[in-house]
Amino acid sequence: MTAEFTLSPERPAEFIPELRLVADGVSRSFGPRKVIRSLSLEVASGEVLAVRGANGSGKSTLLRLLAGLLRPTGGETWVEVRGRRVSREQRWAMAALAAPAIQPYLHLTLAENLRFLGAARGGAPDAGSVADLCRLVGLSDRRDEPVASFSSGMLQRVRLALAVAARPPVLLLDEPSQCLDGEGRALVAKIVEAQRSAGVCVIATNDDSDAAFADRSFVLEGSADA
Amino acid sequence: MKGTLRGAWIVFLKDARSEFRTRYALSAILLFAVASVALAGFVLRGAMLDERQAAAVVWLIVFFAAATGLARPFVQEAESGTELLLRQAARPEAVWLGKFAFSLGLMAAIELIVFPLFGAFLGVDVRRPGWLAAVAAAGAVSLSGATTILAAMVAKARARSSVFAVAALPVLLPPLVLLVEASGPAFGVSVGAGQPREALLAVMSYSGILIVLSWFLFPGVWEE
Repeated sequence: MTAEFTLSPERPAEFIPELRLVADGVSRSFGPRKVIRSLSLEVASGEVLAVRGANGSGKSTLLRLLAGLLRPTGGETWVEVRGRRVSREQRWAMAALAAPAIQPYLHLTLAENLRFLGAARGGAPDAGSVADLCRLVGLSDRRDEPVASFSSGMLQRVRLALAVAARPPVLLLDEPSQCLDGEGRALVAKIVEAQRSAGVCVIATNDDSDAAFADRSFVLEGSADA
Repeated sequence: MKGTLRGAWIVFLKDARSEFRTRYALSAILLFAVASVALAGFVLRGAMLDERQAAAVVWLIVFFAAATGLARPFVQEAESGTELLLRQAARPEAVWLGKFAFSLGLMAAIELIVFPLFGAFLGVDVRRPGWLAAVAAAGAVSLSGATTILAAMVAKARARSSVFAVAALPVLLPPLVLLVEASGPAFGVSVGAGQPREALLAVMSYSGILIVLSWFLFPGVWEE
């Protein structure tokens, strides 16, 4: 089962009832520095998990591991549906990560970034669905401007738009409210709430208002220096 | 495979659109190519280069122009923070193929600039344009194939620009030597002499091996 790619935020993704995102004994080192040590967690369909921890405790690294964008140096992470693990390729199609470290293409416009992502992932985004997404993140009037001219808060909205564009069953948000104003924070709340009916959501944050969206929290102990 | 080709085309179009707007790679390549050919023309004009010397000078200029610009498609992704977005957008095979196609386009642009300028500035007579076009095509495939996988590796390193130049030399030197050998007939050596034909076949084999190896190696390089 491969997640369908649709750029329409108005069109709900098919809910996968028995979906689980699992990390089992996961470790990750960067050279001699061990950032994640033997960590295990599970998130099920309809659930929102907040990952909390001090700076350098490995929150962003954990989200990349869960997204399949980083290989663990020990243990493993996987996505399973109805008790069966999905393939690496299916998992790639099912997960999306929005993080401060992810930049859109600055010389492309917002609409071009969305069209690129949609086309590259195998969808055929039409003008209407791109317009819907731009409206969702409150950037309709800037959709045809290169994102290089955007403020940091607007760039964060672009990251959120790129992440939810695929309506992924596994949505991973790293510091989603960073740089956002009140309206932007309301957008994050809307996205997280919508994700409950689409699959699982993991939020890495030290912001109490972001953590409040979650059903439970997972705290990473220590920091990278510990 | 159809999905990979489609993804590669989308990656290629994205790179082409970005390059069209910024002209980072093209400006660097154009500046280097024109300056180096003009300098070579100024110093060597009237020096009566033999066929191999002419071929060596022209491929040396092509090599350094390539080293100037061909690492950009990957290094740019790493430096601008778009690499993670690209990894989420396209499968590794599509990324490699799209980047390879873009490098091939840049390489063709380098050759289209350097070869005519070289002929004009140095007064070198191209006696077999068809043969030169075949060698140039083989050279474009081998050099862009090598620089694509090298650039992907180098993009993961610190001090990327200097690492690329150092890493590129041992990988690009063998095809360059063969390309110089193969270019002889274009400037007057008989094709029937044997060595140029064998050299051209060797470049094509080198390219084939490199492309197959890159196809299998790239996912490991890209995903870590």
